This record gives sequence, structure tokens and C-alpha cells, in this order.
Amino acid sequence: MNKNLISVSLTKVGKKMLETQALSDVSLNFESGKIHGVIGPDGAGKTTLIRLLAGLLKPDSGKIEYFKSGNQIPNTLIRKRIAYLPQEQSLYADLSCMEHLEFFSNIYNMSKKDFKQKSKKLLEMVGLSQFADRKAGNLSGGMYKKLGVICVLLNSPDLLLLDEPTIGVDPLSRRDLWNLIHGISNEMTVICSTSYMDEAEKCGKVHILNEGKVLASDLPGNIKKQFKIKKIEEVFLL
Amino acid sequence: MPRFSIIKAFFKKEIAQTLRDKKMIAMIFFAPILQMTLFGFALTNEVKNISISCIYSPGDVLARTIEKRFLESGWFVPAESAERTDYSKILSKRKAEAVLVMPSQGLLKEIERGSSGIQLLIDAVNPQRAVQIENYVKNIMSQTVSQELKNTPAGLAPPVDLNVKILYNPSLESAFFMIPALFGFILCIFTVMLTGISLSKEKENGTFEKLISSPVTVWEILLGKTFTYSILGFIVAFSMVIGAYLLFGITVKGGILKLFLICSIFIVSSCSVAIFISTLAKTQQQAMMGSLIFLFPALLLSGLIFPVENIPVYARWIAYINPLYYLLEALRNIVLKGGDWIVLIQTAVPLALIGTALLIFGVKKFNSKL
Repeated sequence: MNKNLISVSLTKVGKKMLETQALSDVSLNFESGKIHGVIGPDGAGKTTLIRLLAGLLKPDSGKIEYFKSGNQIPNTLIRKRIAYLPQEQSLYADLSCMEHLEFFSNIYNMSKKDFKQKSKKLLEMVGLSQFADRKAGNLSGGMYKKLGVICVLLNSPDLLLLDEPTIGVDPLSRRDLWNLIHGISNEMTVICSTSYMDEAEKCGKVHILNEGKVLASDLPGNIKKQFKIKKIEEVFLL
Repeated sequence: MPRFSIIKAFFKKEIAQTLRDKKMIAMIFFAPILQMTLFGFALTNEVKNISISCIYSPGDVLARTIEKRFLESGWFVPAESAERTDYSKILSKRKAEAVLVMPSQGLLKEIERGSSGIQLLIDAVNPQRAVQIENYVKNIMSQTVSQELKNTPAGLAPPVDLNVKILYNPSLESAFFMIPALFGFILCIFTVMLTGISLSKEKENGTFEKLISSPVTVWEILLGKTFTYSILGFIVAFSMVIGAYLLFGITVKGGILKLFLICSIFIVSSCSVAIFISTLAKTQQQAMMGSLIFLFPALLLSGLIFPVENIPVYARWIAYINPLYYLLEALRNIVLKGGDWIVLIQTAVPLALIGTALLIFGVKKFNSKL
């Protein structure tokens, strides 16, 4: 556990979305410096959980606390240190990759020098250097997602929230995206939701949600031992 | 030959989609009802409620009768009375649309002498209205004079000849009336429609969620959005000022600074309307419809085409809360009359108040929708 990065603790969090109880009594610990997988089928409450963590929603009950180096950080200050990539398309189809990075660097108030260095590094890291001038609308599904990730990484966040980043992406691009997530995981805490059960194995810790409740929260190996299963998805068959 | 089953399938789908969208239903039915009400009750091209000021000597009975006939006709309303020395001022301050100055020695004597000393000053910012005012005044005066003098020894009343002075638009060109208003309308369209659509586009495309999760405040997002389209609106409106000069010879008599000042105050209102529209609209299409729902009555009740003075009093309050009405009044004052400061303040203050109210309301609604 890297104490300089952010850890999050949820205590008995409940949230209703319209008529549906999206989350009920959810208590979870997201330790710092790890890749956390929030796994569950559609409608399990993954997006609600991620949006609560991003501060876009407020819980109806319970509390969400953020810690850094053992000290609690006020929720008002945490927003600057969080990066969030929504599930839906979140880029401007008519702007190029470089224009996106430039726009977000302005939002993050970065210096020009810092922006130049970081954008070059990030574009290289995801293999988008040669597509820097291509419009986001003309990128393939995988490249689009990668651009989304590097836009939020520009700010060097302490906590990265990814809502189903691999959905609708071909297997090769999925592998690339996970390589990217692993590559940055020593610099930040990553919480990534997914409905692909096989992706649980790629995470340091897995939190399994179903119908708004926590089914399990542990290391992938421990969950398999606990439920005496070979694959994580078998949890839902029990 | 198109297949009926396909057309039927589309019809069923479109109707289901349209009727499922409650906001769309409201727009479909609200817009025509609103238009019908406006055209039926409030909007008329007939020239009425002309504020007239008659200046005559206290003992001039004929002049007093003529003034009475003006007011009894239903076309005229009394304007603030003016002294002989400042009658052009009450026109420039828009306290009266017409001033009839009777000779100091008495109207009767003047008519007998040939009546060239009777002066009629008309504010001709709206040229059609000015022509009508002149006709009304001439008719009522002639009728009154012939009725009052029919028992004179001569038996026939001499014709009434007026010395008519057309102010602010002497050549009675409608372009002079329409173009300053068009600057305002273009500015309004740019700021309301483009800002509203651009905010809704962020929502529709899912980019908004990413923006609000970034370390930016709602004010920063709103200012960033509105500023851009305000600047675009300014550029277009000011290129129209240049075009108006080159094509029609219209110069901004009050100076560009006053024009910029009033447009800036107006933009607060129009951007706030756009922010409000974006809170109701989930898609760009809805934002477009919402903008039209605002722009259509705002245009009709602004005095651009139908004079606000003609709207019945019970409906006139709608014009008085319409920011576009004050903008157009101010623009015509600045462009054609030189921008009298009192008129500028009279239009800028309500515009600023409406803008502040709309801004508070729009941003509050925007915040509640996040």
C-alpha cells in the first residue's frame, strides 16, 4: 500500500436513482496504490458507485471518506486530485487528439512546457503519436478510449476512476488498455468498473457488486478460495 | 412505389417517439397557441397610442378643442406637456412621438393667415408610424377647424396647412428603423440559440459529465461557453454596423461605445435564457426548439415589427419584461437619435435588472440539474 496515494473508504453507502435502489449499505475499502476492479453485471450499481466516488452524486445514506498519508482529505479538496473517465463517449468528435490534450491542459491550468512534455509522453505511451492530428470522431473504438484516458492522466491524478473503459472495445485494444492501466498503477490508485468478468484477474483487488449490494471484496485469489470457484464469474452462478 | 407498410412503421415509430417526449408535446401545442394569442390579441399594425404634446397659448379655444379631439379619437394619448423652448427635447427623450406647436398669437388668426406657422414635429424612427401620425393629425385638425368655423361669415373654413418637421429619419426610410433593431436581433439569436445548443451538445455527447468532474467550477464552464458566443455575436453585430454604413449610409450617431455598453448588458439576459434552456433540453434539437419558443414571442413583442405602443395594456407587461424590447429601444435611440443618456439609462436599468434576475434563475436551475 502506497501511503502517498489516495485511499477511499465507503461506509454503509446507499443511493437511490429515480425509483431504483442503485446501492444499498455498501461498505468498501479501496486501498491506495492498487488497481481495484468493481465487477458486476449490468444494473449492479457500478456506474452509480463510480459517480459517487467522483463526487458527481451525493450518497443518500452512509459516508465516503478519502485519505492521503493516513489523513482524511475534505471532499471539497479531493476533486482536484481525482480523474474520471465516464462510460459514455466523453470526447469532442470534431477536435483532434492534440486539441483535446491542449483543452484539458488549460482546464488543469498546466504550464505550456509541462503540457508539451506530458502530452508527448502520454501520446507515445498509448501509441497515438502519429494520430495526434486526427479528429476524435475518426479514431477507432480502442484509440478513442485511450485518448480519453490520457486526457484525464494529464493532470497526474492521485485517484483514477474508469467506468467500464473496455466496453465495446476489440480484444487487442482491451489488452492495450489494461497494459496502460498496469503501467500507471504505481503512480496512482485506480478504480475501474467492468462487466467483463475475466478482467477481474487483471486487478489487484476485486469488489463484486450485484443488485446494489457487495457480494465479495478481496484479492481475486482469495475470492476464488472463499467461494470454491475457478473463475470469478462463477460467483454469480452460485 | 413506396410501400405503405414501411410508411406506417415509420409513422408509428415517430409518433411514439414524439409523444413520449413530454417537452416536445408542450412545444408542439404551446407554440401555435402562443402565436394565435399574440396575433389575435396583442399584435396589430394599426397605429394607436400616439403620445402627442400640444403647445398653445392658454386662451386659445380652438387649439384646446383640437387637442380634445385628438384624445377623443382613440389614436392619441397625452404626452408630458412641454415649454415652447424644449419641444424637440421631449421627442429625443421619447416622452412624445409628436409635438404640435400652435402659434402664440392664437390658432384661429394663424389659419386665417394661411396656417404656415403651425408646426408639427414627428419622431420618424418608425417611418410608417410617422406617416400615419401626420395623416391623423392633418385629418383631425381639418375636420375640427371646418366644424368649428362653419358658422363664420365666409361660410367655408380655410384649409389647414402644417409645417411638418420629420425628425431622426427625415427621408422616412424603413431601413433606418429596421437595421438598428436587426443588430439587436442577430445578437439575440447568436447568444440564445448558439449558447443553448452548445451547452446541450455537451450533455447530448456525454462530454459534460467529464467537464463537471474536472477541477472547474460551474461558473467557469458557463462563462467559457457564453463568452465565446457573445464574442461571435458582437463580431457579427458590428460587422452589420459596418454593412449598414456602407449599404444604407446609416451611422451610429451615439457612438460605438454606447452601442457596446447596451449590447454587453443585454448579453447577460440572453445568455441567462440560453443557460435556462439548456437545463430543460437534453438534446441539441430540444435546445433549438426551446430557443425558437423564446425568440419568436421575444421578437414579436420587441417592437421590431409591431409597435409595442399598439399592444393592449393588459398584455403590454410581457413586452416590458422582454429584454429584446429594451435593447431595440436603446439601439434605435443610439443609432438614430444620438443616444440620449436619459433614454439610455431608462433602457439599460430595466435591462440590467431583467438580466440579473434571469442570471440568478438560470444558474440556480443549472446547478440544481447537475
